[in-house]
Amino acid sequence: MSKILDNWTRCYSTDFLDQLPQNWQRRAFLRAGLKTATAVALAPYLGSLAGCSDHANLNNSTEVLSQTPWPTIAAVQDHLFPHDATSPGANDIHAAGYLYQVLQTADFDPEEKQFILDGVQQLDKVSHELHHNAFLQLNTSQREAVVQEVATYRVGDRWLGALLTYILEALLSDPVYGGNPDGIGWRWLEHIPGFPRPPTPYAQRLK
Amino acid sequence: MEHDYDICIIGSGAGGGPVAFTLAQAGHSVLVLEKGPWYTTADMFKDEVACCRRSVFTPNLRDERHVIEEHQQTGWSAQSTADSGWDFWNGNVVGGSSNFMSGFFLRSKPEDFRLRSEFGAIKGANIVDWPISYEQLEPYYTKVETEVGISGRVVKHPFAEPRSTTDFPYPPTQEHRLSSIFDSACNKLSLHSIPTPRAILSQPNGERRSCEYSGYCGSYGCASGAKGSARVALLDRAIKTGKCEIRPHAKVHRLISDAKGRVTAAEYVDANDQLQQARAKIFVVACQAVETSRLLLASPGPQHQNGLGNQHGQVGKNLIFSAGGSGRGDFLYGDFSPTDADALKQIGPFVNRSLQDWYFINDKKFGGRLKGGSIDFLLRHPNAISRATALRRDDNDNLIWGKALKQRLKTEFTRAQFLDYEVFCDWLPTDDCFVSLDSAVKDKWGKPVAKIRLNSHPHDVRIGEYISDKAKTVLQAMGAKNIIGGASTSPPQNLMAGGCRFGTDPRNSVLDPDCRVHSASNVFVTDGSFMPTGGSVTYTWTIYANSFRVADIIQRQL
Repeated sequence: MSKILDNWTRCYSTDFLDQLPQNWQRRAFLRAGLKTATAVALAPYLGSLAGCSDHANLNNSTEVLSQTPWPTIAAVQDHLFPHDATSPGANDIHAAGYLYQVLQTADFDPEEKQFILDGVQQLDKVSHELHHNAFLQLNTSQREAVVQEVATYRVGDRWLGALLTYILEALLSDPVYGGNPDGIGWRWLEHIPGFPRPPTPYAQRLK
Repeated sequence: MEHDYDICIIGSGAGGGPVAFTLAQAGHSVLVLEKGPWYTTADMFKDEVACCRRSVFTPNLRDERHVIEEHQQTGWSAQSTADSGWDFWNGNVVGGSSNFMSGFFLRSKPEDFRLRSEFGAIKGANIVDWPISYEQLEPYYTKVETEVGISGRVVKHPFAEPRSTTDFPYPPTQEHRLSSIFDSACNKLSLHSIPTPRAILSQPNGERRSCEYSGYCGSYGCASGAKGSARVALLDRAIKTGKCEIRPHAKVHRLISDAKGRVTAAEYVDANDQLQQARAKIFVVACQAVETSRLLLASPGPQHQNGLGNQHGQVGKNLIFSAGGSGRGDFLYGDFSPTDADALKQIGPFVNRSLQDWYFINDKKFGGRLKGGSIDFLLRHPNAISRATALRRDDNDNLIWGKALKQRLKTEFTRAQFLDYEVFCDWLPTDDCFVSLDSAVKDKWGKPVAKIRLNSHPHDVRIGEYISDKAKTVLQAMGAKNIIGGASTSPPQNLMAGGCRFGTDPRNSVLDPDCRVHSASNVFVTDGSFMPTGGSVTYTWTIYANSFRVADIIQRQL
C-alpha cells in the first residue's frame, strides 16, 4: 500500500471528493449510493495543510504547457486517452491546453483547481516509488501500473476521474473552448452539434 | 403614501411575467426586480459547456447555496449544496427558468383541483382541495395558448380535460420517426397516444421566429425565440408598452411592512452592491417556490413577527415537487433498414408523445380508484459531454480508460437512438417537506439561506413504479431493447411548487383564493408556491395560467 497515496487521501474530505468533478449527473449517482450508507462525517477540507500543496503557480504564459507540471499532465492524458489509427487521442483534441484554459476560468472552483494540480505531483511520487523514475520517463506498461495504483485509492480515483472528465470535455465541447479542433471529436463519434454554435467562450460574452 | 410604481414584481419568470405583461398593457407602472442578468435571444447559443457544465445561468454555489435535509438512518441529516453539488437553482436570469424549460405543456385536470374530495385522505399526507375549480382557471389556460404560444393538436381521448376552444393556435412542431412507431404501438395496446403540446412556436409570431429544430431545447436558452419563456413571450412585449421597467442584478433581501401589515418597500442590493428600496402600491413575489418562501420568512415586520404572512407558521410548509420516475429504451440501428436507421438518427424534430391512460388508476392491486399520472416520451437529450462522462465508469463504478474507454464511446454513440420516458405524478404534501431559514449558513450577502427538508410519501413511489412499468410495456411494443427505468424518491429540483398554499382558512394556508397573502392585503404570490397539490403534469402552464388570473384580480384592486 502506498504511503504517498495514504497521505494524499488525508488532504481531502469525503464530501470534496464526492463532488469532483463539476458534473452533477455523477453527483446524483453518488447521492443515490450514499442514501443507504451511514451518514458521512463532514470532515473539514485540509488541502491547505503543509505537504498537500506545493505545486508551482500557473501563469498566463503561452509557454506554460512546456513547464512543470504540464508535460506530465499531458502524458497522463495521453495514457488515459491514446491516439490510434481510427480515433483521436488526448494530444489530437488539445486536452492539455483545454484543461489549462478551464483552470484559468475566473469562476472555476479554486479547491478543485488545486486538487488537480496536486494530483500530478502525487502521481509522480507514486511513479518514483514504483519505478524509481518520473512518469514522463516511463514506458507504456510502467505508466499503466502507476495509473492503476493511483486508481486503487479513492482520492486517486477521483483525480483520474476529473482528468477523464476534462479530456471528454476537450473531445466534445465546442472548438471555441480550445479542444475538439475542427470538430474532430464530433466527427469521430458521429455527433451532431446544435446550432447556432457559440462564437466565443461564455466568459467572453455572458457578463 | 408615496409610491414609485403601481406594482413591483420580484422575480421575472413564469410567475412574474403574466402580471408584468397584463398590468403594463393596462397602463399601470410596473417594476420587475430580477436577481440575475438580462440576456436576450441573441445571447443564446447551443453551448453545452455554458448550458450544462458550469454555473453560468445560476449562481455559483460557493456564493449562494441551499441546505438540504434528508432522512438518514441516524435521523435528519443536513448538507449544504456547495458540498454536495446538488444544485437547486434553476435559472437566475430575466425570464427565470422558463428560459431553459422543455415546454412540455399539459393542463391539470378538473379532479386535480379537488383531489381530497375525489380520492379521499391518505395517511401522512396533507391533501386538500384547491379553493378554485378547473372551470375558473380554464379561460386562463386558453389565454396562455395564445399569449405565450402553445403548439399542438387536440385529440379526443377519455382523459381529456374540457377546453373552451377546439384546437391550439399553432400546429404541432415537426415530429421524429419514433412518433409514428409510438402511435402504432399504442394502437396495438389500445392506448391513447396524445401529441404533447409544447410552449414552442411552430410558426413565427412578431419578433419570435419559429422553432429551428436544432435538437438542443430543454436546458438551453432558445436561439430563435420560439420557446415561450416569460422573457420573449411576455416581458419583451411589456417593455414595449413603455410602462414596464426590468431591473436586473437586483437581489431582494426583504420586504418592509408597516404597522398595518402592508408592504411598503422591497429592499434590494443592486448591481453595484448598493442597498436600494423600491416602493409600490402592490407587490408580487414570484421567485420560484423555495426562494419565495425564503423571502417571506426573511421579511418580519410589526404585524409579521415570524415572517411575512407567517402568523400561523404556514410559510414554507407543504413544499412539493413532481414525483414519478424515468426510463429509456434503445432502438438499435441494426434492427432497421438503412433508410429507417437514417431517420432514427435525425435530431431536431420532436417525439412529442404523452400517455394519460393511467392518470386515474382502476386496478384491483390498489383496491379502488386512485390518482395516477402522465408519461411523457422524448428523445434522449443530445448533450454529448454528459453522455460521454457517464461512460467513463463501469456498472461497478470503476473508472475506464485507454482503448476500453474509446471503444465504449464509439459503440454507445453510434449504435442506437434512445427514447426516454418521464413519469409525472403527485408529490404528496407532507409535514416533512418544507422550507425554513437556516440558522447558520449564509449567502454571500450574509443572509440566511433556505433550508429545504425533503421527504417523499411512500404512496408516490408505488404510483411512480406502477406507471413506469406501463411505460416500459410501450417501449417493448415499439421494439426497443435494453429497456430500463423505475420510480424515484429524489425530487426533480426543476419542478418545485408549494410552500405558500392558497386556501380559505388562514390557519392552514398562506394565501387567499386570489393568491393574496392573508395578512398582507397588497402582497400576492404568483409562482408555483400557491399550489396545495401539483397535479400530475409539469407545472409551468398552470403557473402561467394562474398568474394571468391573479393579474386580472390585481388590476381590479388597483
